[in-house]
Amino acid sequence: MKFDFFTTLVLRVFLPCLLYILWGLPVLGQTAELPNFEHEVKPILAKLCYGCHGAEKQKGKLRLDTLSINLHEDSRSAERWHEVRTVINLGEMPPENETKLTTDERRIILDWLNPTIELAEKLRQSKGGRVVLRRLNNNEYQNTLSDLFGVSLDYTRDFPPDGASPDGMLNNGSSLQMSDIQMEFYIAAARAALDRIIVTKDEPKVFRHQFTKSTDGGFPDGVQGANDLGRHRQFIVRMKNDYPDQGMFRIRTALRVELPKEKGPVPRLRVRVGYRPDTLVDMETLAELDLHKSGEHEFEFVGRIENFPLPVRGQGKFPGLVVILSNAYDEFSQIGKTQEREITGDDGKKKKIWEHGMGYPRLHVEWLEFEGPFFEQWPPEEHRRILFPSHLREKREKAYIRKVLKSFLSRAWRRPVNRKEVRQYVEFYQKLRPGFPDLESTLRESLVMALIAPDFLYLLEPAASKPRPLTSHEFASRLSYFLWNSMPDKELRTMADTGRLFDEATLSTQVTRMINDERASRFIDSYVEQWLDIDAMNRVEVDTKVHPEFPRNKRIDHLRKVIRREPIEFFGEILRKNLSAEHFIRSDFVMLNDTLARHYSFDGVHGGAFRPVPIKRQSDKSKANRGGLLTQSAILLGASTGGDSHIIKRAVFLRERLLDDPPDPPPPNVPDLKTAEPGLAKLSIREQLKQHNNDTACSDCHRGIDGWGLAMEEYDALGQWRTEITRKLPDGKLIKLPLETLAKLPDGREIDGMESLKDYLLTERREQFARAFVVKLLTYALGRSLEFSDEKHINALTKRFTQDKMKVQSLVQSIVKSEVFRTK
Amino acid sequence: MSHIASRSWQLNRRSFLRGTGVALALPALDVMAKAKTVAEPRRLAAVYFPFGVSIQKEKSEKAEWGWFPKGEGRNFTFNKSLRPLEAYRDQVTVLGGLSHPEVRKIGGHDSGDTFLTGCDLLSRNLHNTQSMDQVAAEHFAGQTRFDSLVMSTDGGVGEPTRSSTLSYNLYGRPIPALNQPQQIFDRLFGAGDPDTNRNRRRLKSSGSMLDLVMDDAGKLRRRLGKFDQQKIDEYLDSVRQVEKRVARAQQWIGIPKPGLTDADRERLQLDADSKVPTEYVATMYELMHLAFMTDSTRVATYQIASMGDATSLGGKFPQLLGIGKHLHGLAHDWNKAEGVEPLGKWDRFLAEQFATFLDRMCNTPAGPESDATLLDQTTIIYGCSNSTTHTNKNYPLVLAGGRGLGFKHGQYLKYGEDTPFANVFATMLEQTGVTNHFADSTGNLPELLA
Repeated sequence: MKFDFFTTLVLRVFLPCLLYILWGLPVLGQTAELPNFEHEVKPILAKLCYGCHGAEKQKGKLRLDTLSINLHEDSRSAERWHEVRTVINLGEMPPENETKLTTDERRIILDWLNPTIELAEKLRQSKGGRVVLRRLNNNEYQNTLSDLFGVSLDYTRDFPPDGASPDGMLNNGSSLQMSDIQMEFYIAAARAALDRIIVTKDEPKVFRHQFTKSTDGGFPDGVQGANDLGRHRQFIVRMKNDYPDQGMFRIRTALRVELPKEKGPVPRLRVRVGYRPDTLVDMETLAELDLHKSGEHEFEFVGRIENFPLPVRGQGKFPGLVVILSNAYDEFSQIGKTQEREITGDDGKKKKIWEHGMGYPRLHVEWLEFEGPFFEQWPPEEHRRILFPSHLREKREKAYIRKVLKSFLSRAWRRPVNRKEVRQYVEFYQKLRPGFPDLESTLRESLVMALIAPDFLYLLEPAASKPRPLTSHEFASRLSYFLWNSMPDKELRTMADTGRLFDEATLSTQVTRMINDERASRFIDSYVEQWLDIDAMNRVEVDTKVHPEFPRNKRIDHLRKVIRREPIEFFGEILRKNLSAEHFIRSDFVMLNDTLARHYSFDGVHGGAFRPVPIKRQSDKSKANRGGLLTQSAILLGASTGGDSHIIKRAVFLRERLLDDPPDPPPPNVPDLKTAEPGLAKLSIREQLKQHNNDTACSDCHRGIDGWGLAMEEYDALGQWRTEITRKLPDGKLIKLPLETLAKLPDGREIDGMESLKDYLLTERREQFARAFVVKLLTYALGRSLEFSDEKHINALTKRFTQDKMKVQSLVQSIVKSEVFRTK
Repeated sequence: MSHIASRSWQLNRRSFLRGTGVALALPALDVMAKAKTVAEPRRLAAVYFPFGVSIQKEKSEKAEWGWFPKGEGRNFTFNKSLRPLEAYRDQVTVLGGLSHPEVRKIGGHDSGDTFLTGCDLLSRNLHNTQSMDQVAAEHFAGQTRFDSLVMSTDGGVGEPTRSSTLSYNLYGRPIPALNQPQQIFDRLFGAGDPDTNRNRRRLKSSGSMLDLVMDDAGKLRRRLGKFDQQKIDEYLDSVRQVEKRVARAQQWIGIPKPGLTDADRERLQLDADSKVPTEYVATMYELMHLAFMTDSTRVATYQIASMGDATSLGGKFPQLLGIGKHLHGLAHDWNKAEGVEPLGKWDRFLAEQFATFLDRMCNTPAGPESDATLLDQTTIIYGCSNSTTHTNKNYPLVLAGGRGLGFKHGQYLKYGEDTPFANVFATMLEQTGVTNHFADSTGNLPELLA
């Protein structure tokens, strides 16, 4: 499919609102009409530029009067126009001794040039509105292998990171490259996985231990071995030699819980597994849970030992596998804090112990049992899933292998396989067999081949030049990679086999099932991370001089983890309960756990698990204003300097992520606000911007930006509500500045603070937000950037979405039922 | 010693053709031709010992046991502990004052892992970064049978901060070190170990596997539209690249392993174990020497002992040598009157062993027809990441060899803290033809070069 450049330009003028969203004019609310080149732009160029860059002279080998304005077809001219934009932006042209552009002239040129360049760029990258062959990204690969084998191991260790698309998505076929390095990783990963999954050895020795006391009296960082858990008091068991290196393990434990009062603080059991490299501990968490009831409890936890840090046998001062139970409650709470006290022991010697304060939720370990490797049968389930027991195996190896391969290939390739394909794999097996010691090791290599074939590594939808509807298996894969980041499960596969998946009612049921399935959390995690660029917050170092309350030690940086989790939990709640997307702007509940509640000054939230907390009952303004993405610490911290808010970043976040209207990137050589002259540091943000905006080149863009950010000034870098601003000067001194939240938005509307910003977004920008939400989710669902040809789909989906009160799950349903989702 | 190694290991073209048949010979010839035109191979080695050395004030009573020489520049005198290096004075440079800036932040005993990496392990959740030797190994990959030879007395990888290997791959993962002389010998010159055999099988199957998937992908390509075809081309290119590498690795299977002369074999004590430190350390050095001599690898590291303290085999060396306590205790006594001499004697033991290695290296020609010695073509860093037991600054370091690569020696150079140790690595890597920077290096050190 080919786009006519000029037709599209005309389209732009007739569909102004659509185009805001796709192209993001620098200033919203201004006229959407592109200046006419012949009548408006050309005369200016002729007057001021052609003298040096025209028929007579071509300074810098640039001739403007004949330069094609068809930037899409003529990429050389596009490059030259690019240069023109840069020198105009920088004010370098016209040169010093010549007549300058007036502000209006400049704006006319740029209002034509900016969208024209962007449009050409977009058209050049067009893939004809079709999904480009998508390689599984690292996350999808990890999940797919986990589901294919039924074992969660770290399959993607050290894989090179995936490339993100211009929309920030990690599942875009055009951006996901393949390289020789990547291919070598695929080979190595498949081999490593199959070495684990297909076993050749006899049933391994099972180690069983029971402990009623810690084996170690002390551990690094002043930790003491104890049954009564608390700060610095942990139940530590170390198994010196008798522990497994491979396979599942099971930990059972009996605990006694003593709650100080009902609906008060609760203990949080944390189970960690790892080892002790001399003066350090290297442990990973196996499980964490709040215990809301007093009394005795028994728990069982199962894990895969390879996923934990393992000691090297025969080396180390404190050899052995370590399991630690601790009470994670105490790490952040103020209530009942554990204190160190000196006592005289039984032996008459003085020693220090840690004691709980009043009101401490107590957790006492009665015993702990460890068993591993833990399996129901040998060979284990995952081995049998591939090498199923059969009488054929001994008598007719080839026939057996054919069956084994047929079943594996169709699962791994997510489609039925034909005889020819199976035969090729059987032949490969036979070719290798003489050089290998046994059936298992030969088969491993055959399966490795299946896992590096394009049929596994890519979401294959073979189709020549014309779009075609997906087959039922392709459709099942699209669904499962959308909502599970992984391969279809058995049920979906069966639905695809029978073709029933295309039946509307069946499909609805399946989508509901998929969203309610645990695997949907993979989608929620990935999508929210990519849509909102959550990891922006991890690229910001918090200035602990300004925020001394922020935990400095990265290794126990629990608060940061919880902050990062909030938008994900929030999205999950909205999706699963099929709530309105309006909640992302304004919500009557917040997703909190105890740590985050403390951070936001909410009362009465106990335990480490996230849950929706209504904000109605919380009275003061800081709490009432919570709700929605814009007041979440993850977002506000990500759009901060680490010391203070960063209004530009915040505005860009809002426009880019929530309104799909990203401002133009700043022209080169723009100074950072903070690094400018030292006198500037003491001025309020409004004053600073005023100075910066004295330059027309700056003020043009900033008109579309500053207001949005100023409206969010009530929240500091950590996302905490504030009534004055703490600013760190270049010399390290802290000063206080008054809060200024009154802001003028690009369309001239005045707003004051977060509440009025939310009002404005939900009324004046409601349609735009709805549309942006559709665009983002559809981009992810399809795994490609949207193009002009998608307009009708976006329009239809947006219309439906707003009619549905912007219910998010309903939108997912509409997307998977839309034609665009079902077409290659 | 004027022993000139025999050249029986040399891979000459005729014997090679006889041994393998023409079909395999053709690609292999390519390897040999390359080796000829690229002039003499350049090599790189690193040797490490833990817990620092004896450092004494110049005017103190015990100054004679101070590790660093007296004087500076070209006018310096070795004290007792480094005196064994006197005979190789024109082959070594003593470096003072250097350290890894990032590592200054972490505990003294936690720095062993970072000797060749220079990264602040503790703030990175115990994840290391690529070591200097592996940067070179990656560069030379495929040119020799082994990309690198990684050895330590303790073997394996140890634990974070108590590493028993000096080498870390591109992703900062420790590379297990070999510590059994016999095993190392088998790998280099013998029939190979079970690991090698499995790898060989898999290498072969990789070859056919890649062929097949490429065929299939080629057929698939025809069924695709323009943009998807571009993606499949990317896939095909990647497979083709990997296939080339596999083929290159396979060539080595057809080439017979180098043989050794009787004299070489006699010198080796393959049954040496770490209970007899003199024999053991000498054997490990000799294996390194032989690996270089036969061009089995261009890169080698050896960690003489780890900071594993109680469990380290190398940690017991001083006791076994009759010098005194285990290494950690010995090192802690550096500033006690009665501790100076034992620690000094340990330092000297290490220097003697190192001197023997240098002797072997400078009495072996760099190649079959070369006038240069192996030492001229090999640059070696020798030292520790502590000066005294807990101090992560002023590393005791000797840079040796590589005169054929542009190094000049016979100096004692003192640096300030503004020069990162990585600058030495950057210089070594640059002279070896690998790259001109490493980790936090800020430039190379021209004063080391002729």
